[in-house]
Amino acid sequence: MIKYDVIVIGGGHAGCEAAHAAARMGAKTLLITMKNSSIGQLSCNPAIGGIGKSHLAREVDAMDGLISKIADNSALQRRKLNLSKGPAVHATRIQTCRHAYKKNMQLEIEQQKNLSVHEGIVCSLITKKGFLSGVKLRDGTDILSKSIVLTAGTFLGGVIHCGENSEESGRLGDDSSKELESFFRSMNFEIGRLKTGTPPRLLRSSINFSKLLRQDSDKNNPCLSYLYDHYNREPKQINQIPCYITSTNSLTHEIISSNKHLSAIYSGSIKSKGPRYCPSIEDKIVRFSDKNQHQIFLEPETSDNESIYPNGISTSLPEDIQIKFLRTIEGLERCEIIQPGYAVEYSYFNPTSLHSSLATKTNNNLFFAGQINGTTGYEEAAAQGIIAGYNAAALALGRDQLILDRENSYIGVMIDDLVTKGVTEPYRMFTSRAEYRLKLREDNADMRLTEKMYKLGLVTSERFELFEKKRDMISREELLLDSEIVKVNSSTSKQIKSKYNIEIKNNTSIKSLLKIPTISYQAVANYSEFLHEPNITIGNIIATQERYKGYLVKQDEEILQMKKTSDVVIPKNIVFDKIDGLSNEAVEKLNSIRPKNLGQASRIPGITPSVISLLRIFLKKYAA
Amino acid sequence: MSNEGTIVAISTAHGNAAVGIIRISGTNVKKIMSDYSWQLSPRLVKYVKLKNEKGDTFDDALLIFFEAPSSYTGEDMLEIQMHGNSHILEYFQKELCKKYTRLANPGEFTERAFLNNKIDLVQAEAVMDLINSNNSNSAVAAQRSLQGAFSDKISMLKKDLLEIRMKIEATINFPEDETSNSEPNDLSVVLQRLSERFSDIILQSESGIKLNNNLVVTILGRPNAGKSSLSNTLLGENCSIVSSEAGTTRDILRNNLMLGSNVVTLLDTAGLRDGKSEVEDLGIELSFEASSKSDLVLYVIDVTEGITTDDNKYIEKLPANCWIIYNKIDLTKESSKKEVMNNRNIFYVSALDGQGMDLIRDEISSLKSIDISDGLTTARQRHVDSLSEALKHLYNSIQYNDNQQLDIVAEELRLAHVCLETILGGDVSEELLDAIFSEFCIGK
Repeated sequence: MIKYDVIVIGGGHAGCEAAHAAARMGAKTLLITMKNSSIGQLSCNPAIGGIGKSHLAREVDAMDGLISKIADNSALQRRKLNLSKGPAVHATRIQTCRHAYKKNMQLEIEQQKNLSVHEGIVCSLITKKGFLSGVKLRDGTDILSKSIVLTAGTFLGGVIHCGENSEESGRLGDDSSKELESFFRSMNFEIGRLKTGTPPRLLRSSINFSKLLRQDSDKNNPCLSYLYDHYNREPKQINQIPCYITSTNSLTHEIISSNKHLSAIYSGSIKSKGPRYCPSIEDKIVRFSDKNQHQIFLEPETSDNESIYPNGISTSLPEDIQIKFLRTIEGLERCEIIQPGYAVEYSYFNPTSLHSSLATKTNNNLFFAGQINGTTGYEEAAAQGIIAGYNAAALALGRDQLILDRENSYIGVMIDDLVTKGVTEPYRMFTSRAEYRLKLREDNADMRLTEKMYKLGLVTSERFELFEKKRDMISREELLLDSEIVKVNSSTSKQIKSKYNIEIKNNTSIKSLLKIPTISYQAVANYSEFLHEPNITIGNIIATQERYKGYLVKQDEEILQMKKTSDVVIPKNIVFDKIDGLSNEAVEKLNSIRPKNLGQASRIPGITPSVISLLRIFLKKYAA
Repeated sequence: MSNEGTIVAISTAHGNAAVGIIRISGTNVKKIMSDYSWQLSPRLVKYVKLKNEKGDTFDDALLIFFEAPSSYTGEDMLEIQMHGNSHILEYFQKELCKKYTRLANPGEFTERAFLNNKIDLVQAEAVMDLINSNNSNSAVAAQRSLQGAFSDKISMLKKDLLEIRMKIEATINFPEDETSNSEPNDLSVVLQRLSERFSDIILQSESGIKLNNNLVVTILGRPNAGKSSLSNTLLGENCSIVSSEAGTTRDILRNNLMLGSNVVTLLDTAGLRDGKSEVEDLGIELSFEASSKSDLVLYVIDVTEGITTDDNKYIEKLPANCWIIYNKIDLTKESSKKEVMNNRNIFYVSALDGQGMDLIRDEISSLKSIDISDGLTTARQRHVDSLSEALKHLYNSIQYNDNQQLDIVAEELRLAHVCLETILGGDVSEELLDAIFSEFCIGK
């Protein structure tokens, strides 16, 4: 029988990244999926990126992951958000063709060395002498491996609700993995229930777009992957299709209000908690009754442009009510539903049962990633997938576990939040969750991560060369900008005075001028002192660096100060009950999270500075 | 988290004395010495005049510099021996905190000494005890500092800050939702106004707001145990009533009186009885809350009924020091007395005819309130420090806003929010998201 290094259960966004990452590391990897043809399926809105999410996607990309480049190669519409609000919060969003996305993902998985795919349903894990050693399939097959990554998405105990109807399923038309859920229940994992929803899909030819506001791609075609916006590669081009914007009105609201008792959420069939940032249209109308309209983005789903995703009106009302309220909306007067909206309830494992490596605390060769950890979103799933895949492979290959920290990545912020605070509503990334938002930007994820991940074997050498080339170009450009000087009283300095009201008091390098937020690289490239060939991409990267430099130097000092304490490791076998002076409450909290270091301990809700002091003294004693 | 930065503390007891000592430990000690032009050799005493910003002398002092690692903490340390006037000591400590230091946490000098291998393992236990006991004292003090007007004002500041943050963060995090115009268009004005309110409150707290450093005594007990007669007797006879103000709730009466040299705030609470109605539950909750902020609880029991399991249950739950008062001895013809059992004072009295009330009065008069008021000043100073730090970030945000850097403005406002959380507690990130989701319909 073949024995694998890593088995990944599930072929969604977490599963694909995990399997691909493990295989890149050189681990012999098997991806098990319920249905080969569903690998890489975008179950909800076919958009990748957006604020916070693009930050995660860029980091996965900087680790040579899949999500960003596949989105770029499947793009129908590309936009950059927040351009007026400072580079730290710029975000790219790609509207993709779900067929192309899936095809490209399946191609990547197929072509990857060390990676095989098996179609089957896992119903339990095999334990030998208390040690997990593989998986058992529904057809009776046993497959062995050194480590296992579970990425079951909404398929664990998934129940779909549409009006008064409900059925067991993880996604419309797919099975639900009930056996696996009961297996994990028997392993005493803390299991909770969450809810999410999706809107009806509409037939494009039934929509009248003529009166609606049209939203095209940005002119400069922003990309999510560094390959295409910083490394000079060209993504595949498919049809560009715009989005359109319409909105609900008082008639729509009336229909929904008078039928809300038929919605699965309000009839009481759904009890679990849904995300506050993605409410159903029923919820929006009840909670914000003073609003007389809500925006709807009509987003293309595929390049053949058959199906439209009306973003903003997820619902679990019965299908006949859905069509009734839809037809009150401008442009949708004669619309036809391809697939009705529905709500899904699913099980998740409270992620406080995980280490920061995403290994479970009970079994160090079992890893969890994606929606089963209570997160929502493709990017969140992919980001956990790459870490779980890496660590599963590292364990099988006898290498160290990889843990990212909050100071250097959004991935680190997310995993630390999950394992330290747990989850009560679906967790989504927001940039406001990061303490170091000005440092964790879309433009520098590769500078933060690529070299380190190359050394760890996660980034291919081909990719690393592209990165190095960019880094060299930046250094060269910096040297040039440093050497080009604007003199006091020169015509340029007068021009700067009149345009920006800034006095040049000393001879100043062009590079220093870029510190001023209102002066762009494009602007300085026109000065007579600017003597070389401008490179807008590289120049913009430098301008952003310069703009935050002063601020970030100060912040880095603070991080360094703080790390002296926060990096103090708490040994795995510590007995908190034995520490004098800790309250029962503190012991209980520390025992349930078992923080890896003092920094994580200090972020546990309810742990006070004096608890940290006591821990520190105890650890010092312990070390001696 | 501790062990960062340079710390300062007044290390002599509170109150006026001949000599008062300020100790400083950490990397900024040498910078302080050079900025004040103190040329000190390690371990040699030097006499200097301390001057304020205008150059006027406000005290003279003896300085001793201990160079790392030859000091108590193992870091550079400076000991400043001044005259023991608490106002002057606090003034100078505050000056130092403006630029060079932060206030030490309870036990922090000793903690540093331990972490830098200056004291041995055996002493570690003692350090932990110290931190623990100091922390519980300072927790009480911090809570006391946050009572009343001061706390209300800080909560208002936080609410207004959160409102601004909510609007800015909503436009940053959800630009495509219906938040696009929520960012205040007169942001500079709004920030300016908020920073003015911060500095007003800092000024008031430094000079104006009187600290509530009275000894607080709460009277608890089941209904009809004679709580009100006890408090009436304590207030009514002899004791000059300093003031009488309406309690914060209709269920708690608050009166001040002098006993010996102590100003005592007496809180008369509702009866403790397991809630038959919601109103009673609330009353009991308030009574317990009041006792958690007290220095002493007088637990009154009707001697004819004796102590019940309910009584024991309440007494066990009490966070504060508690004395037991058996009332109504006029009915049982017992004589008044004071006993001590398990370190607990027990009195037999009659509030009705006054028998034994002197015993209680004398015992309260002899209590020392110094520890509390000392901790209270420090606690308030710590809160004011956090407010000043928050104000600094507000000023920065105004400056960056003038430069049209919304992302840095948002960062500075987050830091200001973090400073307020060190006073009020809470989760900065969750609070913000809660505010956004309750105000805006997010969900493109």
